[in-house]
Amino acid sequence: MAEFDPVAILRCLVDREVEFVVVGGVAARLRGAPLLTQDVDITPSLTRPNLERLVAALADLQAQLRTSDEPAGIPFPFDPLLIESANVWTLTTRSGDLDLAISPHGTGGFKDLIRAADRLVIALDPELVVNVASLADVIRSKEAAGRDKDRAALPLLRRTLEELDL
Amino acid sequence: MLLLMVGNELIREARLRARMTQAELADRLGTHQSVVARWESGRTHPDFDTVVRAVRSAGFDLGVAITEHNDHDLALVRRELRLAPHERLAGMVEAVRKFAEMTEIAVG
Repeated sequence: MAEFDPVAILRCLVDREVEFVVVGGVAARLRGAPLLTQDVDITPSLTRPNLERLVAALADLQAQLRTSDEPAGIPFPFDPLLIESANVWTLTTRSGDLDLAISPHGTGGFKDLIRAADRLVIALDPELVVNVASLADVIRSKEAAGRDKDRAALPLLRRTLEELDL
Repeated sequence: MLLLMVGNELIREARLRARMTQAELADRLGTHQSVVARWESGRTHPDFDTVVRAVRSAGFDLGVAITEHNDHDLALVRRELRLAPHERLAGMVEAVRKFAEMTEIAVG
């Protein structure tokens, strides 16, 4: 299993000029919630040129499909139409797990999430800046998803949001 | 008090998420567009029942819950908020790495 390196994954996407918003656990952590996660979740813009850039980045990352039966990954021929056709893609890459959340639960996808997203510096030397979903949107999505692990994280996320609002 | 501060934002957020105009939401609520505009701008403060009804009219439910107070969580949150985003991410990666190491040791 590849060592988890979210900065390497996100840097690759930025280098390929992919338009996306970081969502999920990494977004929550970047916003200040002390949570742990072992995958990067992103919501990409669904324009055709952007999906083509995303496919190129996935090739750079040696992305493969990740399933419970095959956590090490299954080779898969990604293309823009295919990516758009599913709501979630769970992938493994040379830098750890990457999930494409095309339209996260309770949200309208990229166009919805980008409204409240901020560009945050997530690494230095060289600097890396990415769009990160608002904590309110992360909470909204986890509430709507309603999975046990999402529900378990909600009190901490809400506490963080309260502190940010003070 | 909190709801007075955020009720207008909740109504606006629900309406935008539903891709509705203020007039459409007003119509569903049996009121005028100007009333919705005043709520959203914060010029008037909708009461709790009104916020719930407006959010529901946009096709959503407003969830409110009372949860147990936990000071340990608050200390962790405050410590994390003192860091810059890049430091938070680096801290998480380090914690994940250590956790993986401990798991390997435990599994043998």
